[in-house]
Amino acid sequence: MTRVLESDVCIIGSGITAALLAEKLSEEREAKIVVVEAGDDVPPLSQRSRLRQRSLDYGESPWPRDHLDGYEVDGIQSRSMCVGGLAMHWGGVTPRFTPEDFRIKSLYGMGDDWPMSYEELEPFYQEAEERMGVAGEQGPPDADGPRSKPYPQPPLPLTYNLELLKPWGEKIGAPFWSQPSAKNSVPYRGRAVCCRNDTCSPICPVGAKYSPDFTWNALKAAGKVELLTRTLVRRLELVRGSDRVSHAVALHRDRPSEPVEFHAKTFVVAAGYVWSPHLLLASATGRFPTGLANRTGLVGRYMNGHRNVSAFIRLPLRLYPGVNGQHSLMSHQFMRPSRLAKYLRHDLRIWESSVGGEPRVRDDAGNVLLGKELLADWRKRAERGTARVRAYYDVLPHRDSAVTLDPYRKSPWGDPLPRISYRDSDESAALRGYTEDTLKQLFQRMAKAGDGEIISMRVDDFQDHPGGGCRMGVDARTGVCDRFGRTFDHENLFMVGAPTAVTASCCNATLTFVALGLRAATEIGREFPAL
Amino acid sequence: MSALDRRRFLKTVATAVPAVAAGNAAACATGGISAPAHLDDRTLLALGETVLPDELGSGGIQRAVRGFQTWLAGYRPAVEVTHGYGTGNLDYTPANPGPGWAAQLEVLNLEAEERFGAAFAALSKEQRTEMIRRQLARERADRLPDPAQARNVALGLLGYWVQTPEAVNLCYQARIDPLTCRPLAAQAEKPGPTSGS
Repeated sequence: MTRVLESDVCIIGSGITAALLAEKLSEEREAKIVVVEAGDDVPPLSQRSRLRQRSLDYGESPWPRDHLDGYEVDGIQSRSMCVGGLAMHWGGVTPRFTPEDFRIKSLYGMGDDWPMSYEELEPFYQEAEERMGVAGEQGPPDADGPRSKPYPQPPLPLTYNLELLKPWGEKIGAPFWSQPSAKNSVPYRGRAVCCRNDTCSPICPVGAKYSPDFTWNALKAAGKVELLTRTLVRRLELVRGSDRVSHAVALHRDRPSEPVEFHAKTFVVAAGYVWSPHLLLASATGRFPTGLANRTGLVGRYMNGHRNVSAFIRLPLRLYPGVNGQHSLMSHQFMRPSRLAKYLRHDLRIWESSVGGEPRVRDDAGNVLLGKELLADWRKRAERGTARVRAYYDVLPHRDSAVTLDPYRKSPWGDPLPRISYRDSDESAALRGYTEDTLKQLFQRMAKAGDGEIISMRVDDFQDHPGGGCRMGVDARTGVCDRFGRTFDHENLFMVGAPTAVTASCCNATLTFVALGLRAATEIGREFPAL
Repeated sequence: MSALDRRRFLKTVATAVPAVAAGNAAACATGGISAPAHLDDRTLLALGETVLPDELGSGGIQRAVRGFQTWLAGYRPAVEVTHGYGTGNLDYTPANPGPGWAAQLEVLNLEAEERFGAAFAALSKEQRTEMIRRQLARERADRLPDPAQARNVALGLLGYWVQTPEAVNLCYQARIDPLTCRPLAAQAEKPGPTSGS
């Protein structure tokens, strides 16, 4: 027998965008909210010190069973599927995009403009920072995006190591400042101050780093949402003779033979960059034979992210690795160029590192080192410090950078799994060599400026902070949804968060995904009475 | 089993089990889940006195050895390890390295008896050092592995110790105390000296 749950708003997915969108809706509107999560709940805060210690000692995952078996897909995807999603083990790094990100076509003749400006999103950036509790400081006006209000928390102080590295980094002519982070520099909303456990990613044992479970726990305790775990939405169904979504068809993983239906006035798909477009594609019907919201064939398209070039640079500085290795210096100077002969935008970050200064059991001559020899060698190697530097650079997506339905792989329930295939736009692909060479030269200049040497350099082929697949546009020719996330084809179906991103910028994108979700919440909320 | 047979057996086990330990989770189903993991205290302490720096003092060496035993006692094979961004792969902890290490310690004792007529722990530090050097000369690892990945018990012990805050503080002669809960504001300050520096 089919179990039917009725609500005003049905949110599919429980990641960071879903959590803060639900919080905002529940504060501002009179609406019954049901949240559906395919994965399990996560261990409570009280268990996280123990889980962290197991992770440190043995490498064990601090989020055991945070994925679904049988969901191995063709292509790179992060496996976390649990309450809170990927943001359970994120690093809490929360820069904003810069105004240029939203106008790259207009400014540089590359890619596509977003259907909104930075100024339109700015209040929601601020709101996202306040809801999470971001600690940060404003950078110089030319190098940092504008903001209307101060950060909700003072910045995390620079470590002793970063204080030494800052003047070195700035020798290249770029200012650096404390990386904005969703980690408490002061007590905030009942959560503790950061105490430098330095395992923000994958797990903060004290709750100083924001993670979505805090929001869900508060909303559940207040009776403001109903959150169902282990419940997998398989497709969306339309009202007969209408383009409105009628209900979501799901199954409970423990009782797969008993279907569950979620009926709601409004549906919000917040299932991340893979599963959101996948759900639309999997919901094909007679009138939408290639998937919901896909009349113009854009669902699953323009999957985006940014690659990075990184290096370890040995410097004649006495550093003390381990003071707080996950905190970093940041510069957005290179995200804000005025004119470019060749398009290249990137961020730049600097961390302390122990690479090159680690203990070893054999010296350069091949002699085995034990006891005091090992310690003496270690001390000698540690006399010089190491900086890790990394630049994310803008990669513009090709239309065929896509999530599609895999014709061969099925889920345990017989549904086609997604296939993920990234592809740079032609213009971006043509610039890749120039981009990576330029960044390598930048690192070489940095090394030289500090009388240092590069000990390793690499390019990650993986596209980080992935998004897209349901991108927003000015109309159905350019996007799956409008700038509020409402799909062009279905008036009561909203896409939120990462999938709606037009491009991925060149810095960590989670704050932007959340800001987009909060902006969508204002539009979603219009359907319901104000509180 | 004759002494010679026992010697041959232990030598085989001592080389074979670490190979299993370095393998994947599937191998561990037969590798060491139910095998004893405790290492002979006396021999392990002698090993610690051989490979760890004297500067730790006898108390520090004993702490490191006890910590290593505790670490080994808590080891669980075939547990999902941290997965993050940039990969869809899941991986699992390898087989318990304890049985292989225990066999290696026995081999150390057998070799010590054969060459010097005494147990490993009864040898002079020079003799013990020479034996361990000979073993490690055959190992490929320049860098210290994570203990669970160490094919040799000496590397396992060292790999465990260098990750402890005590080791880092000793190296830098400063109270960095990595990975421990410390006041946030103090991170701007230069780590203070250790008591012995």
